[in-house]
Amino acid sequence: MTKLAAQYAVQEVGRPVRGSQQMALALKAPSEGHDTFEPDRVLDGIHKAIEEVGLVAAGDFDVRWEPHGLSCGVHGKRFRILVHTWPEHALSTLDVWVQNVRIDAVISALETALGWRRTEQEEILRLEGAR
Amino acid sequence: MEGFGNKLGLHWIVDATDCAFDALGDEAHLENVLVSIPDQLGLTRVGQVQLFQHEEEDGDITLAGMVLIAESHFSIHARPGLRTLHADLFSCKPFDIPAARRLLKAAFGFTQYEESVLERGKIEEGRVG
Repeated sequence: MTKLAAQYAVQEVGRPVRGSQQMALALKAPSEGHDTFEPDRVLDGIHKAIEEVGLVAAGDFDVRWEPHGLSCGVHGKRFRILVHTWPEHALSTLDVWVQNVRIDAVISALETALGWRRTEQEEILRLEGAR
Repeated sequence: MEGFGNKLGLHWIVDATDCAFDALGDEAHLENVLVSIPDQLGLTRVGQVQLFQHEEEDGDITLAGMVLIAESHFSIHARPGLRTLHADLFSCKPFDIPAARRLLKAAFGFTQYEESVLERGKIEEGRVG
């Protein structure tokens, strides 16, 4: 486990809580960063970020669009990450849903690995306070 | 890309807490839901449904399912032991949220839920790739 994983990663607290967190982001590539939308680079970046925070992927899938663009998903027991890219707009969307994991650590690792910066962000506490 | 005004798309998020146990724990039913709801809403599925089961430490299970629709997705995490469902439908094409809610409620039999709707990703005028 990396230092970041040890600091932030999965924080199990007995029986899993019902509440979970979701971040829905739009991200933009830097002006010189159109190559950051290259599909293999995006997929590698996601897996690198997941490993960095100590999550374990159970599966993944992707669709590569013509002439450009990518949709992909990676999921594990308590998380799912979905990315869609629109290279023609230098935009991507990132959806991260986690349970019992520090979502800010996951997002930061993804931003670093993918080389994008967030332009919009919505955080949703799902079932917060449910029994 | 199919546009959504100057936004990339609409994102509907639902968390339900009193779902039918049998419906949540049935992989075939979950797969059918992931196929039929986008179809009934007129959304275009691409690729196959991805469905996985994870065992929890207490013996409970989590079922996770996802399907890509045109540049968007429909995803579900189901916790039968907690009768809880976490679902997301993100689409670049406008869709009927009340109809989606009716279909999801009918599929899992819940009455207690929270939901959110987000508009995603503002597109800059004149931006080209």
